[in-house]
Amino acid sequence: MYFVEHFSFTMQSAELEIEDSFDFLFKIILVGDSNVGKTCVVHSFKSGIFIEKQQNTIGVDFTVRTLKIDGKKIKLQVWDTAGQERFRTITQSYYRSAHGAMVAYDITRRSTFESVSQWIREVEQYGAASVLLILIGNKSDLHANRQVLFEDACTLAQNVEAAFVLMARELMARNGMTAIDEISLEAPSLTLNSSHPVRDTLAPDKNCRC
Amino acid sequence: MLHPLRLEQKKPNEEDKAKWINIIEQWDQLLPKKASKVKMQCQKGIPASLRAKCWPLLSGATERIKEQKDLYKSALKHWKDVIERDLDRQFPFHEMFVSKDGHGQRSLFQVLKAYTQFKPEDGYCQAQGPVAAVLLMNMPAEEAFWCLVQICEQYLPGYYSPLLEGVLFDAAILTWVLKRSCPAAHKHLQRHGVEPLMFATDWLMCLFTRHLPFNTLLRVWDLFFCYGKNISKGLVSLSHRIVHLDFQESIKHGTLKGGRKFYLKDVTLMVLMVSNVSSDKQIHLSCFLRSTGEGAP
Repeated sequence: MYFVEHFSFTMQSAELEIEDSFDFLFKIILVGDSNVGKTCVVHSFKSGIFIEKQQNTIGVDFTVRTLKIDGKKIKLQVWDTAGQERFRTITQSYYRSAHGAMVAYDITRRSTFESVSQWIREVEQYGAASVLLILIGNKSDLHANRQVLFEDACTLAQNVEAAFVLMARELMARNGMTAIDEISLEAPSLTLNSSHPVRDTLAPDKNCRC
Repeated sequence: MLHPLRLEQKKPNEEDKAKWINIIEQWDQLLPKKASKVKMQCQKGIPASLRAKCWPLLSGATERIKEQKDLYKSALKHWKDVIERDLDRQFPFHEMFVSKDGHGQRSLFQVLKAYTQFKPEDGYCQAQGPVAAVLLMNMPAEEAFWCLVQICEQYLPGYYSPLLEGVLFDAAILTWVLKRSCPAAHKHLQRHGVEPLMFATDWLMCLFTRHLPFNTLLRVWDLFFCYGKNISKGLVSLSHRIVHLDFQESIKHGTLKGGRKFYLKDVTLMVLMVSNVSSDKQIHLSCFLRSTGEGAP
């Protein structure tokens, strides 16, 4: 079982055990150029609320959310990273233990999409071999300013080597098409089939559907 | 050599203007003879409306612009875009920085941009934003700029450079200090794979601007500026105190049992809690620098 860690939790307090227990813990790292909206995605995942005004992330920040899927408690630990290049010396060291990586770009800024391959290489280089990748096109409500076609993202996703699965999604946190729906869609397939290689179980999803 | 302009010279008239336009047009041919004709015209004074054209010609800047055609634009544009994207992300709810074209964001842009020109090898680091913003809340832009320069050069060298070596170093120091003075907290963090860079990068680089209540922050900065160039130890010390106090408070109040996972967010929340409850105590206790790593509060 490569992808999933199962934690048997020993707690000193029985009360806390109930609060804090979980069946699966997934660590997900969120990368991408500066100001593509990574923190907004995490925030809306955490609280369901879109807040446009976020401070820029310095170093790493993280968010935990527990979801109940098919009777299993799934704890998702999302590591939100700073996008500016110089912070990579710090963020790279946290790729290693991540089960999944989300690479975000801004559909209204072509350069952020062009950086995606670079980010993927980073994840390949510093992450675990089995890391699952998802590509996120942010700010899709600003379609008037669109500079990246969704098809481009799908092409990119399909052309990436099969060392991992790359799926493409576009998010519109602002208009209520929340990150949560998207992510929790994926969660069951990750966990229920966790005894199989994750790559295989997700193969049908490789084609973009949005 | 050109003679210095004489202040008492007469105002250049239309005739002079025409002469200058003529000079500009024939600059390449005139260049070898710059000494005579051009010098004479310079002594009479360059018409104000033509200076933008003449000074670069005289100084050779025009040639350099031709040589490296896009250098300025790309340098300027690069940091301009990056900085501009961050302007509404510093204290976005503070009235000074709330509006896109308000003086807060404008000054912030100028200060940060000026720094990239002042120190192009360092350029702009995103963590400078909140620091500059707090400076601007307290002083005019020019003073804020020079304070930022002092912070980056004297107080926290290597903090904002492309390799962030100063931060990496101080994070290592923090580990060491914690291990020595608060082994229980150190062990606890270590057991759960939590290292200072995970929670203290923001504390250190942004000088606690986002983590302390504003009044506490101002007092911390009073000390920060006062204690001089060796201050990065002070930041480490404060970070250490925070973790230390968190740990003790958490055990004392039973809010976090010793065995519970000590998540980063918990640490951050505890910082806010502790600093809200006892911000004065915290600062006094830590004596900020003096006791770096030594003894219990």
